[in-house]
Amino acid sequence: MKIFYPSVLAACLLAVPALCSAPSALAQNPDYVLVSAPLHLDAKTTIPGHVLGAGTYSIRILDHLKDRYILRVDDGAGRALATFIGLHNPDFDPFVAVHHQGPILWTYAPKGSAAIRGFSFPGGNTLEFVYPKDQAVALAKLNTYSVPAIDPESEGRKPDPKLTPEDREVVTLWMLEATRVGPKNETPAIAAKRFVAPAEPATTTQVARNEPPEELAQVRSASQRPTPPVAVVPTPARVSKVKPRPVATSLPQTASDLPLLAALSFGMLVTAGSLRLARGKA
Amino acid sequence: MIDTALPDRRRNIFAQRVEMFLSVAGLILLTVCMAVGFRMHSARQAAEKLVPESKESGSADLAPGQGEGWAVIGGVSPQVVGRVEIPSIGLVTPLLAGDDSTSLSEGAGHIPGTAYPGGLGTVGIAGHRDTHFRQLRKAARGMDVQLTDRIGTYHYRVSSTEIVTPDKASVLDIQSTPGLVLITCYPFSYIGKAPKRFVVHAELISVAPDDVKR
Repeated sequence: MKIFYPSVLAACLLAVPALCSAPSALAQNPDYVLVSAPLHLDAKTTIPGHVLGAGTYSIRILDHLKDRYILRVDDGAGRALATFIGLHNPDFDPFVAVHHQGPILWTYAPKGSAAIRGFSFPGGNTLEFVYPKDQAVALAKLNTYSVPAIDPESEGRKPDPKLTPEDREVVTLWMLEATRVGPKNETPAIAAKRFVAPAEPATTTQVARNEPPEELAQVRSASQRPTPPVAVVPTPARVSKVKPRPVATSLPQTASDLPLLAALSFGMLVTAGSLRLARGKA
Repeated sequence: MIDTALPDRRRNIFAQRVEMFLSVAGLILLTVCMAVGFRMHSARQAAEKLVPESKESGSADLAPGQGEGWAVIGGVSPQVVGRVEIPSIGLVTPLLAGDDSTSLSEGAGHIPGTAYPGGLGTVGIAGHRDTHFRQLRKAARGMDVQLTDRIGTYHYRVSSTEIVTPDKASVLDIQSTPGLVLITCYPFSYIGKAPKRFVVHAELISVAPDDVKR
């Protein structure tokens, strides 16, 4: 008995830090990603570029690139509603990422509506949704966390709902965050910083490349709790083959002909006047 | 007897014709200059009248953005889309869509493919060193640059200036933070097409525009 109690105490002391660190480790190194999961919404909710009504949907990972995931939300009938970008944000609360499965909402959204911040898939892979700039600015104004954003138009691409799959692979990712600027930090502002993907952990990712219909059927009939993955096809992060286009090959020609024309005009008129005077005197 | 009046008369006729030619050509050039000047004035007035659309700041809707670009239609005169200001050096010039010669004759031109004012990327704006961007030579680190369009006014802070060759298009590349690049020819006193470019780099202070006041 004398030995038993100290042993239990020691075991507890060792177990506590191990338990506390487990969620963080899981969140940072997800073993796999679910192909798709059900998404249940009780009210009108915003996702990147779209507003979904209350109902049951499914969310799936279509592709996994080095710094981003391509996600798609389908309706109950399996019709694609929205395709957008998700990213693995290392700043996302690891406790929430592991212990919460399903959609994670932004604390505040404009006009009291709801907006999804990310989705936590079983297995600890939590992906944060990337919003178009206008939506991201509106969210960043109201929340304390940074908001992932894209601005395709600022790169000469089509705006988000019309974004091509190729553009989606290479469009620059940004993080927007509320801050204050000015001499006394008196002016609220939204700071933007380019998103840099964390070093890729040695992990594999499941993606729905061929979108098997039987899997969808299972997803549709799923219960509130997301189901484990159906087909396991480990796929490493893909490297995009899309080459970013250069904005310009050379800088614009910025010499104006106007001063030269004005000087030429002045010179001609003065010479003509001088000739007239000379002729008059002769 | 030799008639000495004949060469004088011929010389007189020649001088009269030269005078006529110079007068007509000079007046044509003057008219062209005045027409360009009038267009510059009209563009400036349009830019000064430009008022951002009334939209309550902070109550931005979460509805998807409109994503409207600046459509430049061929054959139509350049479109004034905003205003560039550096108050500390008195630079105020209209911003036009496109960097073609017609646009640049009326104001500063937005380089197609670069970010729009306040955009997440690098905004590229070019202007003539001897007209609209004449004051740019005085630009210095820390100065406030204001870009106004129909959405609002965005503030940038000058971070650096540099002199580059025209082939260094990499100055327009997207950096780690959103920015603005103002480009004009260099040397400033050069007559004709200058061989280099003077580039002003500025960083975006806030992605959200100033509160719109009407």
